Amino acid sequence: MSMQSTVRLLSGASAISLIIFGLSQPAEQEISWLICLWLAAPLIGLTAWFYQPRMPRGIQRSVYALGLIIIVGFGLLSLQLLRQQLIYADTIYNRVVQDPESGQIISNVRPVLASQRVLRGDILDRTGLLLVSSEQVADGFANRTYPLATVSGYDPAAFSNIVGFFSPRYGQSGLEATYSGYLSGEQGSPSDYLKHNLLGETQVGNNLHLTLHAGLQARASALLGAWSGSIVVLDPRSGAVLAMVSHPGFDPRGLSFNYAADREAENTRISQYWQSINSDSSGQPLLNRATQGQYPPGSTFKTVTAVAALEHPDVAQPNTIRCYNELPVEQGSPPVVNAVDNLASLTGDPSDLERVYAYSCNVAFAQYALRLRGDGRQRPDLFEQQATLFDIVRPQDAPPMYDRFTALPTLPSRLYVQPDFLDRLAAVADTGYGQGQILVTPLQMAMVAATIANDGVMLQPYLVQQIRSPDNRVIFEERTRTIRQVMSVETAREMRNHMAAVAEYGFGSQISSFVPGVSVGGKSGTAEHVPGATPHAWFIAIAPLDAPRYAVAVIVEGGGEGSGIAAQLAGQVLAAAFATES
Amino acid sequence: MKIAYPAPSLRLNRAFRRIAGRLIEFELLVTAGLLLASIIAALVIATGQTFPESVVLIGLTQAFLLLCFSMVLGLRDWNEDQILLPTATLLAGIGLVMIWRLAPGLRDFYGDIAHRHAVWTFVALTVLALVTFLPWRMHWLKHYRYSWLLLGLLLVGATMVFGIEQNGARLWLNLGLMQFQPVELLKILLVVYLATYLDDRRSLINTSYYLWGLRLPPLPYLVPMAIMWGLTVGMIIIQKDLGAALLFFSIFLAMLYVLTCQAWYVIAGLVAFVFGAAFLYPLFEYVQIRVDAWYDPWSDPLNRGYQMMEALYALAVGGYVGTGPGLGDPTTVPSSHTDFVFVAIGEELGMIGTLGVLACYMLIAVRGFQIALRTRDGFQQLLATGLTTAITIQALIITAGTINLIPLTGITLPFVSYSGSSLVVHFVMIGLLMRISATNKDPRVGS
Repeated sequence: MSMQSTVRLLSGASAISLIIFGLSQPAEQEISWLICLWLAAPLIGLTAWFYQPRMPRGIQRSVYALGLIIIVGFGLLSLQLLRQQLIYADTIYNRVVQDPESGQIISNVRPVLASQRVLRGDILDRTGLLLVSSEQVADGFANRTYPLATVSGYDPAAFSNIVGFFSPRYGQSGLEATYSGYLSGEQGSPSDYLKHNLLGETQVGNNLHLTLHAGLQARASALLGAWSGSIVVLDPRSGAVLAMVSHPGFDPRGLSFNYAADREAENTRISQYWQSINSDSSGQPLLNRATQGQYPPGSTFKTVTAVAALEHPDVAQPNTIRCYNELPVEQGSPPVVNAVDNLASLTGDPSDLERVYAYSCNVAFAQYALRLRGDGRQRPDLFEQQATLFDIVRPQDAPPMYDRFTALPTLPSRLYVQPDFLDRLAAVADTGYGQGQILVTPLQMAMVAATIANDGVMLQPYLVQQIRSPDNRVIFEERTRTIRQVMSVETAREMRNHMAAVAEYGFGSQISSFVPGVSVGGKSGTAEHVPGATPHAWFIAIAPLDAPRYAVAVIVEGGGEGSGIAAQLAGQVLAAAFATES
Repeated sequence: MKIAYPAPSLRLNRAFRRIAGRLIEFELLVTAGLLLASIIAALVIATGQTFPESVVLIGLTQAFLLLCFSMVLGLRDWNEDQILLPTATLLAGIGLVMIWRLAPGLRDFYGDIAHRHAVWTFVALTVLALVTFLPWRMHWLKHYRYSWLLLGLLLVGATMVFGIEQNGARLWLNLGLMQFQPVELLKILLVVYLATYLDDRRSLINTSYYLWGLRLPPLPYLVPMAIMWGLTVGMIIIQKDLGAALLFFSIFLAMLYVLTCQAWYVIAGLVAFVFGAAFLYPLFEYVQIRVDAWYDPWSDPLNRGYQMMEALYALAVGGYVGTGPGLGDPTTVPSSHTDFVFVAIGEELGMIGTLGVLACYMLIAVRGFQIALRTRDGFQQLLATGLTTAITIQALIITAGTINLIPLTGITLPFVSYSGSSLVVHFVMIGLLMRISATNKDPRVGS
């Protein structure tokens, strides 16, 4: 008797511990769970067998045993259901696998189907113009529509980096991805969401009201034309993004599924378009160059060096400067040279900050950077400190994503790449005029211009002004957020004067011809990226100078001299921006 | 001799008493009906899906006739089991509702399955009524055993020759109006034949002999055991029907075990089956597909593992209470209305639904085996055991297959799956079990 109770106790305990052990295995380890379960099965049977009253061998006993086996079988099913439907349900629901042959990624289709049944919210520009919308079609599915193209007649590719695509197969990008929770209604109004869910009604998403000006965006994109590059227009008083172009773009309609059409044909069309925009020759249209492009800023970065010099006049001595033809810095490195020979004939010799800035003298800014560095004992030195204040940070401090602009995936701007790069004097000298290893985003340079326009206070850029519920209630309202005071008000005022000098008589005077009667300030840049290749053309600009309303950054990949095509584009964009006011 | 008829008032009184004696079944039927009505109401509210009037009409007629059926059974006063019918009805009702719900999404591939299934349910209940009320004798089953065996073999032969192939298995006979799966009928015939065969040889139980120190069953058991094993392996090879082979073999082992009380025969039989399957594994691709899909469905997501992977996703969606009827996407799992209807229940009714369905089968198992234990007649005892085992083991094999506990074998979920022949045959089995359970039979048809 005691023998029997020991056996049933032991087998019961080991069955339970086997099941607990099996359940504690990770969700992917299905086979070890199954082994545990199968091993536990006879033990469960044994335990139950020993709990029944002893019966003589006979039909009664064997029917009982048969019934027991079947009941244990259903018990195993229940345990498997417990694991699959409750304990690991979330893990299994979200499990993503890759087909070993085709490399295709396969995931649960249900969240995708659910997302396609939502009447996703609209995206509107600052004037209330409808850019992206949804319409319900067959079987409860909703199509994503693009009134910006169909109604307003704008080129949808001009907006693709901002609104992004919405595809059942390839997911989402742009605002569709960042604000997916709000657009689908999951976020924002929980009571409505719950109500729709419980009643099985069509889910209606919330609407995004952008700071973007659709007309300006389309115009800026048209001006950039066939060039690859980016144009960013900020309102320096608030940080609102008025335009943010990235070329080349893509047509988001090419990836959105039309549920009213033939499914098979739609799948083919979408996968072909996806392949075409991912091909090597397409020029990476899915990359939002404005926030993810990593470019050397070239001479536009002299703005930052100049601010540093003005902030530390005793160290940098901004107005005690000479523009040599070349500046040997270190044994074994080529000397710093200017883009133009005998630049001193323009800047004067000795010169001052305004003129070396206006005529973009590399040698002068290399000297400022070296002066700010001092003896190198203090790290980060004054130059690095000033760049860091502009959020152009040391690589060791760079976050994976720049968190001051969250509407779209944004990379941080870095002063250099290798952590010990600035240990070399020649590297300091090169970085001082925007070469070396420095990599910035066009948005960052627009923020540099905007900060100077806004009396040295750097503001957080933003793209979404308001989120409104389907019944037009405001769920979320963006306000102006200060990042920090980057420079003194005096320095900012002085920098505006220097930028004005560029536009008046320096290497960027072309810009003034596009905005007659308006005082503008700017800075050109010619960024060497690959030895021998045509450099990228940069221009940053602010206008009107007395109370700036626009800060612009333009980069044209392979555009050559910054004072050429980039200055012209900056001028035309400013003219377009002023035109939106009337 | 003059027969004294009771006075009318007394007859009425007795009728009431009899009906009242069968109140449990009546109440359970009403409960099942209310449960189904609430699922249907949720479905209608959630999807706005309206049922065709004819389907509603058939459904309501069925409900009404079932209640009448229960009352007539009470009036007849044979005292049949009162649990089996409501349980089977609930399962069939859940099946009917699920197939209504799945039908719109499957129309392009399978046509109007909702209508067809509704008609089949009607046919199944009619056959149940016939089995119950027709004056036939239980021992006919025993008496004409060779006819049943011949009929079974003829059906298998006909399917092999004239059968139509679907999903790589030749299992269906086309009867013009409808397709029929002979393997379902074969199941009853097998149980009947085995019950008679084993009952005839009851006296040989203790005539076992020893060979190399092992206690072997007497030859009359060993021979059919070998034949059964050969038959099942043959079915796997020729008809490619792994599920039915496993089911038939399990039924045989179960009945052999009940009669002989020798657990070791069962173990030997199972080992032989596993060896047979292991031997066939490298030879037959369709067996490999099933085993691979079970072992790791995620490693071949587009091909072999696709169906199982979708099924696992569907179960995971379900959670405690499911998405609610009509609010999931069960049709993303291929064969959601036949083999994988359990997974569809798991997605939309959640773990409550799946455990509820399993509980129904457990109830059938418990009641069926209780009936077997209470029966005096040796043949009927074996018959009841065989029928109960057939229903519950089939449910076990297919649900275990669809939730990836064992490799999937395509057989129907009794009462629930979309399959007319399965539905009819399982209601016949319930009818037989109820007849065996009757303790107050009319002696003229009782034996």
